[in-house]
Amino acid sequence: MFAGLVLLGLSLLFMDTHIRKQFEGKRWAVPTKVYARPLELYAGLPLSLDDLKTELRGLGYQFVRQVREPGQAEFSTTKATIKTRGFLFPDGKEPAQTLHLSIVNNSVSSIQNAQSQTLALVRLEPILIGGIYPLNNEDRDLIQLGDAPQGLTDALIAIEDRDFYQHAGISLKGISRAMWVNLKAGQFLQGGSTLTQQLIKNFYLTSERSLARKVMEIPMAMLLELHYSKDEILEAYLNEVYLGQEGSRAIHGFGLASQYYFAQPIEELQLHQVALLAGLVKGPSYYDPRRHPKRAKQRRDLVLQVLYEQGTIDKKHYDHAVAMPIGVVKQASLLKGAYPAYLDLVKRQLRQQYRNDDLSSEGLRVFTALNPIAQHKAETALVSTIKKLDSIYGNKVTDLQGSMVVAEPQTGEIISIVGGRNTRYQGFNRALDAVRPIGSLIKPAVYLTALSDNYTLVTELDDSPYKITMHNGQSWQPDNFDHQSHGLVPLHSALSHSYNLSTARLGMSLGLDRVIDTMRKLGVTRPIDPYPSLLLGAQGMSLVEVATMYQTIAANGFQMPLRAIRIVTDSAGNELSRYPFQLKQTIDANAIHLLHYALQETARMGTARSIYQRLPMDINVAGKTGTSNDQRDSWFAGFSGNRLAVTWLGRDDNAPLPFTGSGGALKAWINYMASEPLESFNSAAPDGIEYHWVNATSGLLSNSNCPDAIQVPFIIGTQPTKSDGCAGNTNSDPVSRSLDWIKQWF
Amino acid sequence: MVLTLKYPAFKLFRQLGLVVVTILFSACSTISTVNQPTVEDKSTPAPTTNTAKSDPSRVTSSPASTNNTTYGDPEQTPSMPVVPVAPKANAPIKQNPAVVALIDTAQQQQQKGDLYSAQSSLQRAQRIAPRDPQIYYELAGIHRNLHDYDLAEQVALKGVSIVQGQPQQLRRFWSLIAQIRSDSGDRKGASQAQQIADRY
Repeated sequence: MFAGLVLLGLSLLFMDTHIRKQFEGKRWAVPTKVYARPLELYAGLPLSLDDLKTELRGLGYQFVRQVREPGQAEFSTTKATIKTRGFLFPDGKEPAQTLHLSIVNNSVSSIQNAQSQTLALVRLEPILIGGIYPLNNEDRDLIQLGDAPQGLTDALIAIEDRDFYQHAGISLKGISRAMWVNLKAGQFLQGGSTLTQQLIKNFYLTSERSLARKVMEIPMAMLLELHYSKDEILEAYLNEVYLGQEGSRAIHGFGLASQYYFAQPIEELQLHQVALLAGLVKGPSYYDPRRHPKRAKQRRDLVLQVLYEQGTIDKKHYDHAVAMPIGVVKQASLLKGAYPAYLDLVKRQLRQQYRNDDLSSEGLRVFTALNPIAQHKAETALVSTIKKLDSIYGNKVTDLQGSMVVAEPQTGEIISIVGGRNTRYQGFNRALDAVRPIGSLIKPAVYLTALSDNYTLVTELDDSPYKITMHNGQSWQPDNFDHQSHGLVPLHSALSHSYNLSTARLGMSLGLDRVIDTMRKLGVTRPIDPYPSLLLGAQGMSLVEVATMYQTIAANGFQMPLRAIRIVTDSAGNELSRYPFQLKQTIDANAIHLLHYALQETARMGTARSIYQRLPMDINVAGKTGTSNDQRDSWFAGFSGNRLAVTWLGRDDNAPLPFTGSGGALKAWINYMASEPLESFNSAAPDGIEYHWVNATSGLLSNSNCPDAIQVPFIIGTQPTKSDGCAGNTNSDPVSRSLDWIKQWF
Repeated sequence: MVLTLKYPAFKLFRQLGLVVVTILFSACSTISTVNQPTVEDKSTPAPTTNTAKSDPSRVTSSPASTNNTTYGDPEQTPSMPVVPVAPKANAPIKQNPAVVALIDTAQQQQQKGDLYSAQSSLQRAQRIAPRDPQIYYELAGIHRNLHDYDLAEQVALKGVSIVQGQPQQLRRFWSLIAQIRSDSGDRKGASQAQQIADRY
């Protein structure tokens, strides 16, 4: 007897400690919230109505005939009216207000507020792209009791636990009433578990549910009631209860459920919506509003009826609510988890600076550069390209994968990342972790080394067969893609047509060390194997590393760390760390200008010339195709004035592809770029550069009237001195004219 | 740093050495063909010969028009695509009112000594108009006040690359670089930067 009491006491004590730990753990762990960049609205902003809708959908706005509440938007063909919610940014509060936007020719032409005052600049709220939680994959949108609409708690208590505020954890009254109701109806309508008991159940939802556990619920519920107030328990319940399933992901808590079923923040839900959610508690699968809309509506209407009968709502509200359709959105609209690849990068950057525990419990707020509109376009472009290739090549491209990184070339901010063809997959992130040979994407580093060392764009390179024997006795014998050698070729053509023989010869004559040095200046930090095959891209790199390299090229030789995070604050909004715009010029602007010429030539008439079948001729872009050995990787890296994108296609098992860089990755790149409002890449020639007319084949000075004459930039003093003898040898350049003029005297 | 020191040397070489080089070059060459200096390229308006002669530092013009969407001579090669000639100067930016407002805010924040807020405002402006030189001018000033001279100079150099071909702006940015270098104790670098500024 005594031993029994001791055992009981001990197990109660154990239970008590355990349950408190559970409760505290859940209660105090406030996850880090990660936000996308806020959309800045101003006259002149390139933005289509579709873009705006993408953004507003991400924010869970309701598209209505006439806006009444914050979180609603109405559209006409050239106008949008938005009632914003306002947001507290680290640098100040953006008020909730009504905005009237005029959008003409895919550009914002004016913004006015409700008083018809013109606004120079407003920010929408940032889309919450995810959180960092104690357990991986546990996705929750924690809410405070005060965030929940009154109707929700009313409905929950009315339908699940009418005596919640009176009982001590269990309710005999509740149980007997439930039995009576069930008996009367002849079916099982009510369970009689209190909310407190249900909370306990949810704490252990993943564990087995035995009778013993069921019995244990009772003392545990009572212990919980001893320690915590009703409101604390209710709040925990709101965040804990199981409300649905999306694939392998359990939907816990009303905050997330609100997003999952209605794509709206919980604060904005109306009576019929909260009644639906409250009704779901009893059986999220049985009453699944997507699969069983009739059942779900019946259940919802029952909840509304109970609320009406007990006088919580009046007849008018009741009638209005039961008349509403259930109104759940399509499954795909759960935006939390919509950006796994970007969030992955953010988490990695955060973990360099913050402890895991702090990230998952301190309620930090992280503001990132993710541009959801660009992300949407990048995903669409990549996925549609892969599908197209699937349909062209059939089972030759089974399990074709791809990834993409997009950055803003002037600021160095990464604005979107796609980690694979399943854009919501949280696993392997190819943009960060797939380290694959970059093929000809390396060539700009080789040519930049040459152009920084007295080579010109018209220096003739030897593209004849080449073989070297290395120290270990192995030989290396590269070949051109077309298995032809092209004799003597001007440097710019060798790059724009991506010839391997001339590149290998050039790189070896420059020296591997110097090419590696250039790669370092371009921002590559990983260990590099100094083998000759490096010159043709045997080195493996991730997409983000490639993006860093091309970013330096796009930014005129200024190396910038690619940034995803802008600022981190604590839960009260105090700044913890910022990631400012940083840059360092590592490459001479003149040499970069010459490289730009050759990379634009690649796009205009080299291996990437298919670009201008889609992009307008007046938009300058520059870039490079890449194909690794045996066509296992298809790459493209390129930029316009306002977008830098790197695309990769390949298979996880490293099998060869039936297409090259231009046949695969370039198509995805073009599809993406064509969907963006592009700015032309126009960088003025630096002071040390002059353009001269030269013969395209011989590289000798020529004249604008001559056949095959092209204008090519030279670092001053390096232009050819000999002429091709065409058209009386005139050269239209003033320097040459002065020279010629002086020559007459001798 | 090495890079920036190259500029004055380069200019000096061009200015003083042009005639010498010209004479040496001409003396060595056999004059097989004599050309008339008056031949003008009809498709490409270039600066007059007078300008070129009177100011050797300005003979850097390419014979292309400054229109950045020129694809060479369409009459000669109607079907052949051509790499566009880079403009000689970046066209001045028309400031967006949103950017003006943010720069204004940043200046007020800076006056109050709130340099980090000013930095935030300027970066916000930069995302809207990444090619507006004034943003880089102000941002370089912020880093200078934060005593981060290396970054201040780099931001100012970024400004230089944006205002290529705009003498007044170049003078402003090089003067700023001179001040930054002077603040950091780099007197030689400062005077070199000032020399470049004075040239515009």
